[in-house]
Amino acid sequence: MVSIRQAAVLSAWGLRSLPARFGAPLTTIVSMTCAVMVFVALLSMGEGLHRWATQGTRPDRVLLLSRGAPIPDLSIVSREVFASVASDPGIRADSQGHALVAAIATISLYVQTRANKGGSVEVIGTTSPDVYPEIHVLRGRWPRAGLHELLASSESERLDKGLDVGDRVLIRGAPWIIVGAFANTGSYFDQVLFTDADTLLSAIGLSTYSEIVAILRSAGQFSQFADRIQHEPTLMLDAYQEARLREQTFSATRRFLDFVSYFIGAILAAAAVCAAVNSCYAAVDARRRELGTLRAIGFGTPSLAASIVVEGVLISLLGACLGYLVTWEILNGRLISTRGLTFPLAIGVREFAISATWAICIALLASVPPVARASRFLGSGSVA
Amino acid sequence: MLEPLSPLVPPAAFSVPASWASAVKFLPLALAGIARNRTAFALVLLQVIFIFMLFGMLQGLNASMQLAMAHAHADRLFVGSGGGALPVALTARLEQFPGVAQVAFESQLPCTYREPKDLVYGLGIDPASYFAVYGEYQAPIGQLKAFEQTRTGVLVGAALEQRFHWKLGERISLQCFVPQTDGSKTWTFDVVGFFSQTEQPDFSNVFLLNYPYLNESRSIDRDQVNIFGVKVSQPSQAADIEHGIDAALANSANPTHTSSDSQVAQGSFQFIGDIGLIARAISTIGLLSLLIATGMLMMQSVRERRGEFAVMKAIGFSPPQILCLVLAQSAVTWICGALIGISLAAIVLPHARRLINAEDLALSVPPSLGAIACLVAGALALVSGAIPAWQASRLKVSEQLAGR
Repeated sequence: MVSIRQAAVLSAWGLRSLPARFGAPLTTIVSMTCAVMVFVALLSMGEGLHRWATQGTRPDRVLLLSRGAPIPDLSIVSREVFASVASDPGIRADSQGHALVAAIATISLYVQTRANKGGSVEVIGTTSPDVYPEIHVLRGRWPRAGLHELLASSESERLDKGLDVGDRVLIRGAPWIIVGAFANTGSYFDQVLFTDADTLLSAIGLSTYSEIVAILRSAGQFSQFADRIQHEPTLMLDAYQEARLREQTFSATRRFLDFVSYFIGAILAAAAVCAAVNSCYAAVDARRRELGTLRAIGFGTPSLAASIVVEGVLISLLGACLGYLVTWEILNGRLISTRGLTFPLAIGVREFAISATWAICIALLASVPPVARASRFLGSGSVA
Repeated sequence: MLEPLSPLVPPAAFSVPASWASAVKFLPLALAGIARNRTAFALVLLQVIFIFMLFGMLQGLNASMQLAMAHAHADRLFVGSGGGALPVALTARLEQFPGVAQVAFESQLPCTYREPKDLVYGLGIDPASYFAVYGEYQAPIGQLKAFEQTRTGVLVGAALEQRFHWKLGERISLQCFVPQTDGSKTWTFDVVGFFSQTEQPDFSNVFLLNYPYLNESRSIDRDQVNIFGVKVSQPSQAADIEHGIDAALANSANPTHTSSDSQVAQGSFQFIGDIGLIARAISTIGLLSLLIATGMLMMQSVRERRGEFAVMKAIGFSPPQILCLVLAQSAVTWICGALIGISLAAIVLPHARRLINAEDLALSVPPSLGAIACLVAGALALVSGAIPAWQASRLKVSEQLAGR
């Protein structure tokens, strides 16, 4: 108890003398700030992608892919298979008795708008808009079957790019008209174009859908539904809850982004450890006489050592907080594009916790050799 | 008082005017200064090494991507549909195009082997045109013949062979996402040979199968292919032909989207985002932290050696000579660290390819990057050493030695 109080007093004492020897701690603060800035900036990509990908998913919405297809791009679902799934009793029906199920054709198409030269856009063709109840059409209407019509989100950036209601775009040389705009959902849907599934398939010369989307009577019925689908040998389908499939689709990108973050973060952290060891040594050397005197008037060596460690941790944490705040201010919510996806960077509590933990670990690791040196000279009594 | 210094200072140094030449002669003296605080300098050196290793890896990655784009074949165009498929019959139409030398199509067959995660792509091709357009794909003549004569035969890419260790003559069975006419998704092939990709070896992570077998066996997408590779006779005409093909087919039943090899290369590396910008930003932040760290260390070092510098001045060292001495000390730390860091990056980077999902990219640190790193290190050494060097050169001998 006494030694804890001693350590607290000594730490406060030590911190008060910091401004007089600002050079060494400044090195640690700058190194930590730089390392955390880079680390948090990189982490925000993976976190942003994850939040964006799982945003707006429904627990009662299921997706069916052909067996073994890891992503919708590789899935092939025929009309016959869709017809047999559509009558499943687990699927919810709307007030008029129509089952909330749709066959979906998802394809990345080169879309040419009048504003820019063109680019790849994910186009979702659905046989029924009812499986996407969160899509509220603000202006215009849903595309009709048989007509080259599209529905786009009302995201302002898209409007500038020539995807406003009434605009014409070219897909495989043929003109398509934007006939409706829906309210932003804050999710992946904001970057896709909706249309009718069969119209899309015939326009691109394909004959099979890529997946089936259905809304179940309740989210709790998923496992029974999945069981029925799995055990029907003619279907050859795998059932996924929407959030799980979405995560799985983007998991490779997420893993890649996280790997890069931790790899670069680790190199910068190693550099920060060197800076912290140096500045801790400098602090011990600068206070050699002071520490010796304190030892002589009765403060315990463990308390003195603890005060050195506390100082290092606080300085390191200060650097980490600065780095976090600067990055948060500059990057949080900013849109980035990678691998054809555009999503906002996200910096949250998790990123803060990770960088604070790193900062503390770095400081603890870095204070070992200087504390060992201090205990040596305090123990031997050679203060001068 | 002079004893510790005298063996290190060559007498001739006193008469030489302050210049970079004399700074180099002071190298032993600079090293002696570093040796006074070995731990601190070793730690800063480590810090310099880490940051330059990062610098080397990021810039090396960037340079490798630029190189891959520069290596693109100027005489090659890719004709796709911009999503979806194109009819194989388009081959004849493309071949008639003025300036087009040869056309090769490919039709993808995505499959899995053993486990769902063992994803592998088969490409349905016509061997004669395919190997003519893509000169970097090479297979032994005998195996190529066998491939042409065996309907179910496949040529396995070198990278794929390393993955699954398929043997010549082996019969392999794959689960493919495209059903056959009888509804079965199990496809069986005979390994009749292997091919290599001489430019980007990891592109050979596929197998080639005979298009007629693929087309007649599949139940969907009959007579459809994914992309055409077009070899033009004159690379200088490539851009005109690129626009010409799209314009000519714009109002047909199958409008096309044609791109050059370099555009395709750019697109496939886009996943790393604006890597050049990220590399520069991270390197700048890292170097900035180094600047502070080394600057502080040099100031501390000068402070500790005030007496020593005063003595040197007293025995005839001029202020510019002292200035050079401190700068040399700073330069030694930076340049040594930079060289070691870049060398480490050159060792590590080629192994990073699999880790960052850039399997189709040959990663290396170009030698020029070593020179750039040395220049950057030299310049930053001057900046970080400037204040301490100036302080050391302006020391007043009388003040420093007064107490002794």
